Amino acid sequence: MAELRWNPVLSEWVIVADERQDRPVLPEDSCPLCPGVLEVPEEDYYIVSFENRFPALRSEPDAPSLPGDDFYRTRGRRGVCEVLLYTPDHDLAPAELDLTRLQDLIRVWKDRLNELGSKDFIDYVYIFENRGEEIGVSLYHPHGQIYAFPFVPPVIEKELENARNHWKEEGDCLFCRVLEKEKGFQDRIVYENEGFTAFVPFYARFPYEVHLYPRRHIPDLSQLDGDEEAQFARALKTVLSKYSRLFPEDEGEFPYMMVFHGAPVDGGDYDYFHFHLEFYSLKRGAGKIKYRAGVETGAGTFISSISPEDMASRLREAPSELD
Amino acid sequence: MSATKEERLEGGLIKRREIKEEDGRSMFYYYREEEGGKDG
Repeated sequence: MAELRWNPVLSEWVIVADERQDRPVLPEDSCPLCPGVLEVPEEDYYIVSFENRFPALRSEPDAPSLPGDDFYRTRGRRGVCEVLLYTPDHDLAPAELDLTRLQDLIRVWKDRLNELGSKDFIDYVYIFENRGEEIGVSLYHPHGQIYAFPFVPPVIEKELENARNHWKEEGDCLFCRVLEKEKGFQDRIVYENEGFTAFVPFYARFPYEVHLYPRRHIPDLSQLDGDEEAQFARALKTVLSKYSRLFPEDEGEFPYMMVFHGAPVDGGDYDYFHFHLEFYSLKRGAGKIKYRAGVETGAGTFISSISPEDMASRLREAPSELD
Repeated sequence: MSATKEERLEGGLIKRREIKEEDGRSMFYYYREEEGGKDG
C-alpha cells in the first residue's frame, strides 16, 4: 500500500509507503553511497544528489491503494525524496568537511531548493540530515536528505501560524524577537559570527538542541548572499565540530538531527518567516540516551533533564576545529 | 532513455543533470569548474 492518508483528528497527512519495508540489507563491508558501488555509478564525484531508490514520496506515484472518502481522505503520495552525498570520502564526518566544500554544499542546497520548489506539485522543500546509530542511521557515509512535500508539514505549519500572528499583532518577526532575547541574555549563545548566531533556545526540548539563525531576516535559504554563505559554512562547521567533541569518552559518533526550516514554495507570501536551522540530539550525557517516550510522543510535552543554560555552557566549552 | 545537461551555478559550481536509463531516477552531479569535473 502506498498513499497519503488524512488524519482528521490532528489535521495532518500521514505517508503510507510499505514498500520501504523491502529495502535490501546490504553486506556490512559495502557502502552503497561510495563511488561506483551501487547508488552512484561514476567512479568519483564531488557532491551528488539523486532520487532515493525506496522513496516515501514519488514524482509519478500510483493511484492510492484505498480510494478513501470525504472523511477518510487519500491521495497519491506525489513528491520527491533525494539523497545528497556531501563527499566521496566515506570516512569523513560532516564536521570534518572543509569550509570550501561546506560553502559549495550550501550552494547545492540552494539549487535543490530552487529546482524542487519550482515543481507545481511541491509545496514544501525540507532539507535534513540524520546522523548516528541512535537516530537509526546505518550508513556512515556523510549524507543528508531532501523531502519535497506536496503539502506543508505540520511543525512548519505551526511555526508559520505563530510567526504570522506575531507579525500581525506585534508588527515584527517572531524569530528576530527570539534572536534579540537570546543575544540580550547571552548565556545560551553557543557561537556567533557576523552573519549567524547559534544558541540553545530558552525552550529547548531535546538534549543539546541548537538553533542556528541568520542575523538578517530572510524567509528562505535562497536569499543568502555570498558573504552569508561563507558565514553559514563557518557556523555549521563550528556547531558540528563542537557536537563531535562533546563527549570524547564515548565510542561512536554524537548522534544528531539537523533540519532546515524555511518558507514554503507554494506561491504564498511568507515575508514574516525567518529561515533557520534546528539541531536535536538524543544524547543527554556520556553513554546516556534520552528516549522520546509517552509524554513526549503521546502528549507532545517535552521534559528536559538538562537546563538549556547548562547545555549551552557545555557546548561553548567543547572545542571546535575552527578555534 | 538517458539525457545529460550541464548548468553553470554561482561560485564556480557546475551542475550536471543525468536521467538514468534503467529506472528513470534523476542524478545531479555537482563539481567545481577549476577542478576539471571531479573531486575538490
